[in-house]
This record gives sequence, C-alpha cells and structure tokens, in this order.
Amino acid sequence: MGVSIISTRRGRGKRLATASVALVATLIASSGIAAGADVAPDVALKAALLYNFAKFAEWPGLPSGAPIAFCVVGDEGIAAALVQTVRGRNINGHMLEVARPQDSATWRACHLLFLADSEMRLATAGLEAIRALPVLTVSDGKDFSQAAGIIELYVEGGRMRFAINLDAADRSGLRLSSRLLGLAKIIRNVPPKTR
Amino acid sequence: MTMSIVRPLLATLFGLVALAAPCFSQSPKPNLSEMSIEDLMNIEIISASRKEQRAVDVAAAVFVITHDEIRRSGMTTIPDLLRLAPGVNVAQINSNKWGVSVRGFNAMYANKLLVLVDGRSIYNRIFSGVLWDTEDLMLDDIDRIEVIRGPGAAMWGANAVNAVINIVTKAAADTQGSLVRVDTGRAGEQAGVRYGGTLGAAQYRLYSQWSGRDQSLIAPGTRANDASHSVTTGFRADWTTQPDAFMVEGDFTAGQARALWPNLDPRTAAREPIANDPTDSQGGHLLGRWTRTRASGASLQVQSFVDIAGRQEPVGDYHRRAFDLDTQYHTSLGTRQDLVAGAGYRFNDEKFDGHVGLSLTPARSNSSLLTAFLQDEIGFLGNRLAVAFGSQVQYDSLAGAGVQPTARVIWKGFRRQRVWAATSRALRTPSLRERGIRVDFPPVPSGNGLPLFVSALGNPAARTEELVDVELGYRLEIGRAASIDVTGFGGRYSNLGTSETAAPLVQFVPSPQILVTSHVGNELDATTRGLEIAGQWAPLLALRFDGSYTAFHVAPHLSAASQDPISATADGNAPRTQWQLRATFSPVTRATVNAAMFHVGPLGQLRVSAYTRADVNAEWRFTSGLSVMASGQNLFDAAHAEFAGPQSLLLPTLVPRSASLRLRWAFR
Repeated sequence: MGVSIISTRRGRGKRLATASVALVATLIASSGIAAGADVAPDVALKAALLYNFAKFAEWPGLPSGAPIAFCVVGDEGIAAALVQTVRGRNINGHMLEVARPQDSATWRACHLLFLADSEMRLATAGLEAIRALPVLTVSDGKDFSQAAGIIELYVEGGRMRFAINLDAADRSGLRLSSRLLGLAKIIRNVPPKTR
Repeated sequence: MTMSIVRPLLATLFGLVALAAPCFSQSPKPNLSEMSIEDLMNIEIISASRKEQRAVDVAAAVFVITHDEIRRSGMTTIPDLLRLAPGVNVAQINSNKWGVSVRGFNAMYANKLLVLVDGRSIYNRIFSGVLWDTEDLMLDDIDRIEVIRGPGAAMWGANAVNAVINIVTKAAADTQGSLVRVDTGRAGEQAGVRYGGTLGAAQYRLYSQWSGRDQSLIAPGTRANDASHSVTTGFRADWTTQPDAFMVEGDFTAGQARALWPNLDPRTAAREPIANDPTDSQGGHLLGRWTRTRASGASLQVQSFVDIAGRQEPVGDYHRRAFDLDTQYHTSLGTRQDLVAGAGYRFNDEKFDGHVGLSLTPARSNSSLLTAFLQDEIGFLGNRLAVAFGSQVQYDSLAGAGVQPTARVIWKGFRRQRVWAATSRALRTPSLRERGIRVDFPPVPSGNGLPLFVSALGNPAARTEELVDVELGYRLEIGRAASIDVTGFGGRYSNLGTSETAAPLVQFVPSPQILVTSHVGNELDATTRGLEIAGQWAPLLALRFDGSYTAFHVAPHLSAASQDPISATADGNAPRTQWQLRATFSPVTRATVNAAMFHVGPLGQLRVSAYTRADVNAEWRFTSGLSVMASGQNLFDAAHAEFAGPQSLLLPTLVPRSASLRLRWAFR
C-alpha cells in the first residue's frame, strides 16, 4: 500500500493550453456570434416545425377565412420565433395568429397549443379539459404523450424528431395528414417512466 | 505522439474551433420557415438552448448527462462519463478501478454516493461502495445519467448522502435494429453487438459486449500488469397494454481483473511484498417493473429485482444475493399539489470468506431493510412558488431506525431565472466491513529490532454517519442560447469514520513482538461548504460550449478522545477546485469535432498533484448509421497519478495517455 507519487510535469504545455482557452473565449466574445443570431437555433427550428404541423393538420368545421390561432404557454422564445415565422404567411387561406394565453380556460380557443416543459406538470387539468376538442397540443417536454398531449418534440441522434400520440389525436377529432404521420414516431398511450 | 507535438496541436484545435465558428456564422443562414418538414428533421443539432427541461424547475442540484453528450465525449467507461457533471470527484486508481464521489469523501469504495441503474441500486453493503469494474453497460443503451447532488435520502433512502446517480437505459422501442460497435486503442478494447426487434406488442433488445482494459503504468515506461476483461450479455423488453406498461431487463457479467495488492501472507510477504493475483467476478440481475397510469395522470409503479454476485479476490471470496421490492405512487391533488409516496423492502444475503490475513465477522449476514417515503409539493401564488416537504423513514435490521426529512422551496416567478433552497438530513448506515473486518498485516521490522504486527479491526458498535445540509441554487437563461446553473451548499457531518489506533503493546508470547491495533471509530465531525457552477452556451446549431467549476472545502473537527491524528487534517480526498471546459463543433453535416479539458486540483492529504486531462476526438459519419471516431485521451501527460494512499487495499497506478479508434454501425 505504498504511496507512489509521481509529480506531473507542469510548464509550457499547460500555460499554452490555458492561454488558448482564453484566446478562444475572447475571440468568441468579440466575434459577435451571439449578436448575429436573433433567435437560438433550436428555438427557430421548433417554431418552424410548429408552423409545419399546422400545415398538415385539419380542423373539422374551421370556417374558411377564420384565422388559425397558435397558442404558446411558458416559452417566450418560441412565441417570438413563431411570430417571425408566421409573419405574412397563411395556411390554405387562413391567417395565422400567435397568442400567449395566461389562463388555461381560454385554451379551447386555440388551434395549436404549444406547452413548454416547465408548464407540463401543472397543465394536467387544462389538458384534460381540451382532450376531446380539436386542439393540436405540442410540447418539448419529456413524456408529454402520457399527459394526453398529441405531439412531443425531442432530439435524437442530434436531430429534431417528434412523436405523435395517435389515441390523443383521434380523441381530439383532428385529422393529421399521412405525410406527418409517416415522419413521426407513433405512440399509443405509453405510461410514464417514473424515478 | 511526442510531447512537443501534442500541446501545440491541442491549442491549435481549440483555436480552430473558435476561429472557424465566425466563418460559419457569416455564411447565409437557412430560412427555416421555408424548409420542408423532412429537411427540418435533417438539420444536425448539437445544441439545445436548454437541457433536460425538467431539471430547470427542480429544487435540487441536478445535472443530466444526455445520450448525445455520452456519444460525443468519446469515453468508454461510466466513471469517466461522470466527470462531465459538476461536483463529481472521479479518480482513476488503476486500469480498472475508480474512486467516484460527489462533494468529497472519495475512496475506492466511496460510501456516500448512491448509484442506481434503472432504479436498481448497485451500491454494495459489504464494501459500502460501488464496484465500478463490474458495471459493463453498453453505452449506446444509456438514455441519460442523472446526477442529483445533495442528500437524495428523502426519495432514495439511506446511503444517498452526498448524491444520487441514476443511470437510465433506453426503452427497447428506442433501440430497434442492429448495432455493431468496435473500439480499439491503447487504453483498451470494446466490442459490442445489439439487436432490437418487436414481438407482437412488445419491443425487446438483446446485447452482448466484450470489454478489455489494458495495463496502466507504475512509473512512466513501466507497465503495472493490471489489465482486465469482461463479457456482458443482457436484454430488455417493454410492452404496453393500456393502461399498464411492463418492463423486464436482465444481464449477466463475468470478468477478470488484475491489480497490485499488498501481500498479506506472512510466509511470503518478505520475499514478495506485492501480489499480482487476478480477481474473478460474476454476477447477474433480473428486474421487472409494472406501471399503471390513470387518465388523471396519477401513476402507480411496482418494481422488483433479484441480484446475485460473486467475487473472488486475492484477499477473499465474496457472495451476495439481494431481493428488492419497491412501490411508488405519484399523483396530483387539485391544481396545486403534487404528491409522491412509496414503500420498499430489500433483503440482502452477503458472505465474505477472507483468505490469509483478512476476515469478516460474522462471515455471513442477512439483513432486511424496510423503507417508506412521502414527498408533497405545494404551489403558491399561482404556482410561482413551490414548497416541498418530504421524508423517508426506514428500519434496517442491522442499523435500526432512521428518519431522513427534507424541505425544499423554489421560486419560479421570473421567466428566465429560478431560485431554490433546500435543507435535508441524510444517514449512512455502517457497512459490514466497518463492523467486522479484521486485517492482519505481515510483520515488519520495527525500530528496535522487534517485529511489528499491525492489525486493523472493525467495530461492531460502529455508528451511523449523519449529514444535515443546506443548499441554495440559482439558474439563469442568458439571452437565447446560454444558461448558467449555480449551487452553493454547506453541510455538517457527524460520526464520520475514523481509524482509532491504540498504544503499541509489547508482547512476549509466542515471541517478543510489538502489536499495534486500530479499530473503526466514529470520532470525526466535519463541516463542508462548496460552490458548483455549470454553464452552457450554444451560439449556433452546430457549435456548443459546456463548462463547470467546482469549489469545495472541508473543515474537520476531530473529537478530543480520538486517536486518529490523520483525520485531524482530513480534506475529504477531494480537490479544493476543479473545472472543465468542453467544446463541440460540427463544421460540416458529416463531421463533429469535440475537445474537452478537465482540471483537478491537488489532493492535499494524499499528496497527489493537480492534473489537467485533455481529450480530443473527431467523428466522421459516412451514413446515418455508420460512423468512425478517432480520439485521444489524457493527452497532456504521458502518465499521471489521480489517487494514492490506503483508502483501498491495493496499489494505485498512473493513468497513461491513450488514443483509440471507434467504429459504430447501426442498421436495420
């Protein structure tokens, strides 16, 4: 049980590495990368996907000329990105609006509802109330499908993916295009992974 | 690679990553809203502007090592992967053994850390530690590793004193198709195959992996003859029949590892003070889980496992059989309360037959552990403030009853910030080794010519250690793509283990000799305090930086009656500071470059120097399923020490520089 101590060689190598780290930090701070992007990359990606989900969904009984309402709860970043994404666009002639509802009682007026993960746990009652209504519920929270949500966004292998809970979709009365279903992981009421 | 090339090369690589990034950002940004869904799904994301979302709203110091981080790190062992989290002390002891702890008190068998794999504890009661060399999971099967620092006792039970590490494997549905992975290099080799398929409504996977670790070094240029190899075969199956979900998993591992042991045989010790005999280990487990979810979101989970292990070391043979049954119920009450409650039973049958010089009394012991816990989280002020109270009570047939309460509060009123605070109590029950070990060292000549016999004894009256701590945390999202997570903590430990040495005895029977005996005591109290800061910044989809800084300080308070002078200056065998900086960059869709630097401060009492570890790797993806990764690890020094001293009964060695090549091929 002897104590064998071999002191590591300090010196040039480590100072060089520390200096290069400092260099990296300065370069990045001064290059204005952060200033260059308005929106964080994956937030823009999620907003673009939400817009696309609405393109491939059908709300029964939606009168022509009526606007499609995107509701975003708990994520100002995605709300802002969505406002930019839908600006000047329409889906099948329907104008697009983005709202940030504070009260879950108003969710029934939404066509697509995005819930941030932080809101998921407390949203159970609100989601229950709109389960049978044609509201396309989307979240990037883990296991959203078990909270009776319809589409769950997740990252796998470095790419954005989404899972669709078919039972929740059927219950809501929405029709999702086969193109969307073909790209999704299909889930049928998977219970939660706890602990 | 010679030293003169490595360091400038490393600095250049870090520089390249930074310099290339501005060029990348000036190229025309794709207009995402004009892209089709298929194209959107093909965009490679290395960064997510926020990590595991759930972690943001938890009133605890949580860090999640994601599957992607595991893949990009280029690391092949779980102890190495744990370096990615802040606050974790990882010290490689020899080629196949590690000391891993959180917030101090590191040792080969660090006893204040609870480690779970899919909810199954891999903490050993006899050693009061984790046998890392028998954990041979396929890293591709790991979905995430949750590191929850601080007393997790209220949920997880005793021995979750400093942290809980939860290794969660992927559901079988996420590992479909075939996978072949081969890793070869100077530190070791690994070859694994996995097949995942469906059978009716069930998904399953079968896998088998062979791992070999090559020798480390005793001194630069001198090998330590501590190679190891193991084979693991296992499976997992999941199936759902509304509203129930079932999971079954199991594995079997067998392996052999060499290490440098002190020779305890008095007949040969003088000639060969160091023995190099192999350790054989075998073990397997079977785990089943049933979860029922109601429409309201409430869920009931019942989990059970059996675990059998055997280990034949030069110092003795060890056998264990364990059975565990655990239930957990989770529900929300109204719109403001979230309740988790559970109960569990564990039965352990352990046996240790010591060889020459080492014995355990009693050699065999059965113990039962009954636990129950409850945690209630209540929202106030429109759920902007959440207060949680919880407690775990347990009855241990060996250590008696214990209560481990916790109180936590988090303020969620700010959109981009979270503030939380927690106070908890945690207990560590004494191990069978602390109660009943006896080690007799071979005689050594003493100063005055008489042989000196040293014996180390356990103490059947060894007491339960206790921690009461306070934590304060703050999380901030900076701009759109960066976040920082700060945790400060202070703890008070009581009844920490010491080694009480009695005054030397001169004995004349059977022949003149000096006897020195020490026994386990609990005479040390200590206060600790520390700071853990973790940050991440993802300025581009394909560029990401992660970093962390950990500061830690122990103030020991040894009782006046103690005869363990070493403990008077205990420093927890953990560095006062450690930090890491990691960068990941994907210059083109098919390639990713990762660079990481880990700095670990010196271990004062063990007299281990500080070291900086630099890892670099580059991955090239030929197709979405076929990739090659070249990596270098520990690039700064040809060899360095990470641990020393008598915390284990074997000789620590030096960690060498290494390089490896990995091929990964996934196909359907």
